[in-house]
Amino acid sequence: MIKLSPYIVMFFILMLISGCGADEKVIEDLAFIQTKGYDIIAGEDLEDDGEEVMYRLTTSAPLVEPDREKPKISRVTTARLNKEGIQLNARTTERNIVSGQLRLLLYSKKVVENGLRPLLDVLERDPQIPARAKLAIVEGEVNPLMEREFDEHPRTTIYLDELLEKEARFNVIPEIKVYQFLRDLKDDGKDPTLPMIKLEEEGVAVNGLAFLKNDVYKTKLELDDSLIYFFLEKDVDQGDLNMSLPNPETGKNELVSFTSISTERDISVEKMEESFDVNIEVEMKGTILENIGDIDISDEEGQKEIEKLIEEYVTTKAEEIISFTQQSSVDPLGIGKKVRNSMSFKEWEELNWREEWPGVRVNVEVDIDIRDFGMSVRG
Amino acid sequence: MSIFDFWRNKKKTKEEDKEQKEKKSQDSESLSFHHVLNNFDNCADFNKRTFTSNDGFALFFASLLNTEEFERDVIRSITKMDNHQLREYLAQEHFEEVTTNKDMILGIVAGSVGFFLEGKGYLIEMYGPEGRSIEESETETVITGPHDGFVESAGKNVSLIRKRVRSSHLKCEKMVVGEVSKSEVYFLYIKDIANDQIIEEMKRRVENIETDGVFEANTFVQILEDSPNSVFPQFQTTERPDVACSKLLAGKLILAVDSSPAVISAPSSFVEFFQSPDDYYNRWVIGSSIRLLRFVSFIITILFTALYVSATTFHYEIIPDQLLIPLAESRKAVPFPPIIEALLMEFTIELLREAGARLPTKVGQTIGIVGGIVIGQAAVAAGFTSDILIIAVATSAIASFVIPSYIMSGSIRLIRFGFIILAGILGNIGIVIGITVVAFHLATLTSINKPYLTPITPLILKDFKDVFLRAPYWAMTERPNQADVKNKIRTKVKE
Amino acid sequence: MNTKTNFSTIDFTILTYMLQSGITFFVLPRLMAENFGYNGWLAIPVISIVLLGQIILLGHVCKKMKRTSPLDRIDKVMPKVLRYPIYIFLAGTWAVLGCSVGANYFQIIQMMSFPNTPQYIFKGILAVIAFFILVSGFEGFVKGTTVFFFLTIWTLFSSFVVLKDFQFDQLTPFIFAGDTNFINGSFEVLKAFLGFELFIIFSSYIQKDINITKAITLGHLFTTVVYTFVTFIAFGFFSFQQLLDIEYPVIQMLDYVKVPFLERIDNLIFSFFLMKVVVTVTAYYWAAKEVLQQIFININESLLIFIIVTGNFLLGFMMETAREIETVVNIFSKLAFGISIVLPIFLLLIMKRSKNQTNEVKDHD
Repeated sequence: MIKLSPYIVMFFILMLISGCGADEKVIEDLAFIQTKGYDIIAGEDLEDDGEEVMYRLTTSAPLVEPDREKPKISRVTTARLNKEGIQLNARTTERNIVSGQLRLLLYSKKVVENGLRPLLDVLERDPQIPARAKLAIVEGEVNPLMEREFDEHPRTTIYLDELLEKEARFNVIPEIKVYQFLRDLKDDGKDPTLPMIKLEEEGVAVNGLAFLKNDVYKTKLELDDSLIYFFLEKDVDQGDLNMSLPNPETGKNELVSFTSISTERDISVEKMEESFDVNIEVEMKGTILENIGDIDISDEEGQKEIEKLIEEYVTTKAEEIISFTQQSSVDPLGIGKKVRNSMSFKEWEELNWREEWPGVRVNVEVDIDIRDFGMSVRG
Repeated sequence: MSIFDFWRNKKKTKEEDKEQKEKKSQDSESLSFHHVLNNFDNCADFNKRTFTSNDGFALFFASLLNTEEFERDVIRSITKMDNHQLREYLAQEHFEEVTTNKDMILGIVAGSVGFFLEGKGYLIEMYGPEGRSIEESETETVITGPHDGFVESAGKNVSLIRKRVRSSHLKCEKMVVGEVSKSEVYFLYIKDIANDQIIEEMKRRVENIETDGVFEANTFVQILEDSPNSVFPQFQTTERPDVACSKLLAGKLILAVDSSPAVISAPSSFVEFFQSPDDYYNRWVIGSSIRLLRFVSFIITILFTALYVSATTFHYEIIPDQLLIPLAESRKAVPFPPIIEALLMEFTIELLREAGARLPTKVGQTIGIVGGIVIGQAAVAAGFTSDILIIAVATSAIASFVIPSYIMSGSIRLIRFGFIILAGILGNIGIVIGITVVAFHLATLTSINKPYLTPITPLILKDFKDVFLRAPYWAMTERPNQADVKNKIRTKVKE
Repeated sequence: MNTKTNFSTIDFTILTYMLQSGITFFVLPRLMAENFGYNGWLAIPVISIVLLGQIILLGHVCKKMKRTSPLDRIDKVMPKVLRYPIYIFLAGTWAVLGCSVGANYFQIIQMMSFPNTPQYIFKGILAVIAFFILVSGFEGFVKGTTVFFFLTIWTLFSSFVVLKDFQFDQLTPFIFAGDTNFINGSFEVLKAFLGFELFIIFSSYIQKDINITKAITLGHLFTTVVYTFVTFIAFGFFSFQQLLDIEYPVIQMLDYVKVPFLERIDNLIFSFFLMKVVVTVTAYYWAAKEVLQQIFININESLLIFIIVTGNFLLGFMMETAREIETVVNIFSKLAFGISIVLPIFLLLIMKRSKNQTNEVKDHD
């Protein structure tokens, strides 16, 4: 056997590849789209006429020019195909538009009401689009939000991205990225959710949690209750509840701030003759850091009383949320998964969960442990 | 070995053959004082000494002798002797009688004193030229541990080793290499540990060398290697006697070349070049961490700049968003594509390193300032390179100096350029292609027919105790497998 | 001096693993979901255990042959007219399979980041590397494989990063429910395990003191563990319907991985799979070379390797689109699987017959 020198090998390899370069994407020649926004401009009301749905695509890429005042490039176009839109947007920039650094996908509420499905294909198919891009619904139109320049936040994408991340960390909204959205969308026991944001005077605010029925917008949960929603959806490790609890004895309200909450959720499913009984048990732990009211929490009796009041409050709210989802016949909590996992495949196949869900009886049981009452022993 | 044939063919032209034959015929003639004397004509440093009380002659190079000892022990007594006494004196054991001109000449050039008395010749070894005193090695410094280093005399070097290994099993065989230089090469090995086949093979290779002269161990390595064309050195050289002794105890062979402050250990493995004696002198956890650091720095040296080039040329999507904008902004002003930019900077760093190595230490510091501050700052300010590349290049340069062996560090710095080019043309897959070729090349390399990449391939899990980690001494009870040792047990754990 | 490298069983265990695991790895979760339905990952260990029987048979044959070349044995009992077509069929199957594995890999690479770079460049590089490895002999090939193993095995740890999003709810209690096609699915799994059959050809190069059966079995079990583990994670990471829709679930999973310095490590990790592909391709080319050497006895070995490598490089021009490659891979892996069953049995029969003959000769004496 001859021994081939690696130099020769390298020489041949370099000869072969010296002709490459067609796929070069040198970083400074790129405009990496960080946010894509979709508005619907035609077809929404004209579906019956068979007119194709037209989207208005707004893309925003950071401007890589150190000394410029304007921090981003924004382009707007209308198109039917996602890629077509990008191509049209690229016509007026000297850079190569790429979507491998996509952070945010914003859809106007109308787009989602019309169904997201046509816009999802590219997310699954294009290997460039990252699975970590976040999704959100914009109340109103997307374009003005993206065009708006916020004085405090020169790069809108990073502002929104971090905003969504922060709110998700404090369990105000769920963190929905492409991966999670597609996962929930395609799960037959769960409906996807999306955070909603809105352009306000001072900036952008998160203003709700949208429930989708498959890929179509159904309804929205107000954020006041969203933490309790998360108690039902998953194990929460961080969250604060500020409650005003009606005291049956005095008739006045107890104002309580229950913080550093961590919960454990447990769902059990019982098959009944007609329908199902679902029991959701939530164990909560937390600290009371503020209390204004008549109950004296310095002694055990008062503490138990306040525990009971919180339990009642959370239980009521939780039941409200569940009946709210049942009324809209969506299952964002993923109760369907638990039901599915409690039966055989054949039974599940025969079951139409979407029809079944509004009739399911859900019992919520909340168990509260108050770790401590802060530094004060005053009643 | 084809390489030795190559040497032989090159050296042996016909004319030389003829000359040598003539010389040989004269040399092997019976001893003649005049012939020997004629051989040393035009040697200003050659000394001839006669004695008043007898007819003896002494021939020697004063520069090669330990003059003081020679005067005191030999000359002083000889001057008083008559012929008869001198004859008896020369018959003593430490005088060697020589019968051919060749032997006499060889003895004198090797630092002996030749005596002629009544047509007979004698030699006495008086070798002891002035040399550097034993100092710490500059290329292999350690913080703790012994601070003596080898010097340019093989004899002294052997003594430094024997001082540490006081055993009759430490064998030291001498061979002479170099047609003109007649350099001495000492083979050191420990009988009953070292593998005979390896010793035989090494001897065969040394015998096959026919060259005019060898003055340095690293030159010698390149003549003896299995694959002289490879970028990687296949024998480790060391300037530290403690390292040499530990190699001996691991069953390896040590070759001490005269006039070189480095000795060769054979066989060697790739991972040995990443080991420093400090690993062994430190506590094992610390030693292991430092060694891991070195392997990490190896990866950084090879891949950091290449990854920069790959990410900026092809794979913008792998850059984290916080880094993306600063990177793109600093690239914006640069007029070259990333690959040229990176090669330029790497080239500059190599220039700095080379200039620093050639200049005296005091001027060398200026180079550091000029290079580090002026070029580094100005290149970015002028939009010549991006500042993140400066970080990448500087980090990989620093990382390359973490590797204890300077020779290996040079090899690694060189192949880094290959990786940068591949990354600039094919991105990540280009880098992987480079790794594939280099890894396969390493896997097939051998060091005196023993696998070079041991214990990684062929896989010997037992030997991993002293590769990426340095296991505690109680765990390292066996010698590594590479040298095929006769006696594997190193430590016996007493109950 | 003895210049032979002393390999140990573990080297061949690694070789088995490297031969078996290939790019099928990246599509395996989807294939399992498609063919075995819910919790399809469970089928992998089941089929693997069934396959173990065949592996033990193969190991037994290797042992029986006592490190002689199986082809020499065939040479003895078959006339040229019969054995040459068989040899050409064997060599052809293996060479084309190797070629298509390479084409498949580079087709994915092309899709991911080099959509406009012509494929022949990648295939040319693969050919050069394969030639480089093949001419250094079997020993070099095994040594290289061990190094490549260490350079690729760390990629498995990246799958731990996605464990955060692993949900047991997604696994569901259903076992093999949904649209299933067990026969097709079993074949897909067998395809994923293919590669071990080459040991029949390799055995004459392996030292006598190595237990081939043990090496293949351990390597096979390791492959099974890796496949099962990754497929299991994919089943819990994706929802079932989602899994059915994703072409390369494992790449998609890695797409989601983010480490402090790098985002989306899918591309980098998939690039490292080149080494596995190189091992598989060179192994098949080596086997083809061994067979062809029996026909062209006088030809220079390096020249023969050159012919095989160049021939396959040219063949690569016919496999450019994903569909073509898939068709070729499917046909030829079926053939290779057939060979992996028929060849050992055939050899066993030959050995039995020759043994009987020698016994008869003895009886006559």
